[in-house]
Amino acid sequence: MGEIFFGHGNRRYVLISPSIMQKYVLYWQRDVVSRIFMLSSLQQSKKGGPFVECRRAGLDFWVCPPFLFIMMGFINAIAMITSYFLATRFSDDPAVAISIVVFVSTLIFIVGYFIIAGFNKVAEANFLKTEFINIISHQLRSPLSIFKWTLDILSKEIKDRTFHEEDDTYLNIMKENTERMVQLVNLLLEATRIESNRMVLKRVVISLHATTEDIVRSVVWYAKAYNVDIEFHAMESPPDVIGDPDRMKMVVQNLIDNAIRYSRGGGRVDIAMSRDGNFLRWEIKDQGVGIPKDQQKFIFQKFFRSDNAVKHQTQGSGLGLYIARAIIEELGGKIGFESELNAGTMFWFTIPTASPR
Amino acid sequence: MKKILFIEDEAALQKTLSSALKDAGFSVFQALDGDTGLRLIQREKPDLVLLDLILPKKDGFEVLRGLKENRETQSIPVIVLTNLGGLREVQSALDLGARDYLIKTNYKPSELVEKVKMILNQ
Repeated sequence: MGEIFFGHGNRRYVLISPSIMQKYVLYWQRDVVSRIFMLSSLQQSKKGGPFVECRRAGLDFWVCPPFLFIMMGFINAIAMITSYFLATRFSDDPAVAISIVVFVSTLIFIVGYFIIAGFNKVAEANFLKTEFINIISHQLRSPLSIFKWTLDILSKEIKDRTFHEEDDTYLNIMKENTERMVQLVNLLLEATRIESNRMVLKRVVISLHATTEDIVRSVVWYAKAYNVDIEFHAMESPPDVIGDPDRMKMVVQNLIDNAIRYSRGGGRVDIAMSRDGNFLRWEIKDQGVGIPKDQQKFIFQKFFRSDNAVKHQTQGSGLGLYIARAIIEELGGKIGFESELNAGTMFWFTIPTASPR
Repeated sequence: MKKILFIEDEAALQKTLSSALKDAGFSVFQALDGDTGLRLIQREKPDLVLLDLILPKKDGFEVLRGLKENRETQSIPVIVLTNLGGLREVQSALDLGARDYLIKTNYKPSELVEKVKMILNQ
């Protein structure tokens, strides 16, 4: 491995393997982590007790170390009393009874200690993983926003001058890939939020059909590269829906992206919408690779990608559908799919309308 | 001409968004740290402030608090423009009175200019 540069502000560090991770973490602690933690600790209200911490770390109440500690206390007390009574029943010597009680409670204490320490380690690892992804994602966002903003300005300037047609194509490729990286970072952050129960959705009136139109327009280039025709069949005067604008955009974008990426180098993607009682229903239909029957039940699981998907597209995080389901269900809708291997897949979701009948 | 103050420590972001705002006909003031930002707010009384959160000298929250504490400046709308998207940060910024909270990577300068226009036209 060669050299890797990490920089922040006007500081630049050259890190040379093999102990990259170790050094990276060290530099982090001095610089970035301290800044971010300082910020968040400033803002953090110390509400809730240790149980809230457990919930944040993604641990259930029953395996939360403080709860286990209290339980251990109870069990120990009961064991002491029981063993004392049993001991006095079989032996008249109080010294024997007491030593049995001490032995039993020490044993329980030691076993309990290891159990709790184990759970603590799991909780800690979980927490660190979440924070790790959080910080990495935020650090990636800084250079990404610079890419995105600079490219936007650049493409505007190119429009005003005469340039090779090729340049425009290259610029578009860069824009698309920057956007893909932005999406990936957003997905990672979103997944950690869902995991740690920190996802809070806005509920405002949005014109999801307009958002969909925008997305379809923005992926035309991308679809062309896959030789896919894409069309949005909008309803006439469609009602607005209630949801989180950014999150819903993410969901629709993701489903459309999937439809294009898993098409087999041709065919079409049709996006349809219809009214379904107090809900609007979206359908995104492709003629792609399909999902094998035996793997369909895993499709909404985090990081899961079907054999077929991997075979056709090496790239993919396996996070999109996991997040989509969390968002749609949180907003009160449903999500599902119908798929036939090597024939195509149709994903659908419903979302409450702003004007119920 | 409407005055906009953009407080951001990353020079590349300063340059790109400022030029987009100038092209749209705004007069743009730039600050590379929170301290300068707050002083410019008090001195120039801009019509709108675009504010990053992680800043040298004074962070974005302190700037926002300073702006809201002064009667002369408390009605200036502030758009927080950051890459921190945690619940805590969003909540604190909105509680402190930020008008909007936008993640930098999710918006292009042209889209941000539209947002600015929308808020100023309200």
